[in-house]
Amino acid sequence: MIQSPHRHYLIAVLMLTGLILVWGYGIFFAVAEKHQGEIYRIIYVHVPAAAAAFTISLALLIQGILSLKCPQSNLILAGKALAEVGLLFTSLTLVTGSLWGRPTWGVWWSWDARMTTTLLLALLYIGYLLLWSSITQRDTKVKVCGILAVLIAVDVPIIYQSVTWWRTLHQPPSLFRPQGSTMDLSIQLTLLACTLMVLSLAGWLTHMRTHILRLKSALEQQAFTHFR
Amino acid sequence: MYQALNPYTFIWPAYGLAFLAIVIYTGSCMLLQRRLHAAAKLTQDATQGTAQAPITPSSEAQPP
Repeated sequence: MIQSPHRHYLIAVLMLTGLILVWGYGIFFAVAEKHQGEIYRIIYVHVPAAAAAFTISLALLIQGILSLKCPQSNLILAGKALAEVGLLFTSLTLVTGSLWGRPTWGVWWSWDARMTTTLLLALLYIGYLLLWSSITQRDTKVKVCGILAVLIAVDVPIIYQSVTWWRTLHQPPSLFRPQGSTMDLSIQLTLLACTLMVLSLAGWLTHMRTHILRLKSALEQQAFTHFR
Repeated sequence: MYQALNPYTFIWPAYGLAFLAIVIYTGSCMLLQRRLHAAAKLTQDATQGTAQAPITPSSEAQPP
């Protein structure tokens, strides 16, 4: 059960160094954009954070389904880890989006469809965490959190399609279009590198947090058996 | 308004906040993991210590 935490320290250093490298490239070396100029550089933190938040919602859905199938497994702990990391990256998406919106649109916040549905995603993650902590009965927790995982997963395609379904401040999709991307290849490659780095980080953070929750649960179980 | 604003006034806080949030979350996880590992090791040592200790009647037990 007890593994050395030194492996995690090494991975943490590697992950954070990788993040500094890709984001440093995005800030200092990536080409400036024709229409937006320098401010577009926020894309390298905003889009990867959103990609991580969306991917985690999918993982949370899979975790919810698997937990419903085997309620006695330790998978329920992964749900909490996923929701925490999902909330972290959704919050980063909102904050960096707001910082991009102010110089571009002249407002920090607008109740446009994409921003509102992304805020809803953050609230759903908060709700998931609150329910996870407040429900003590395992079966009820698995069921309620499973339902919430479905709601979270349903919100993500709405966020993605919101720019085509409604008139919003956001531009229509520029990367995944039937006619091909409107984005320059060098920007696409930098964005891909940043997204892969952030996704790896999100995956590793989830893994580490799940490991911590398992360790905590095992210790609590041990203490409970010992003092009974 | 758009021309008057320096873009780096927004770029640096965006990257800075994102990095800081990730570092804080990672650091908290590391700290918690370290504490839990220490607690787990203590529990393991205590369990093994109890199992290996000689069984002595209370009358023969030496005062500490």
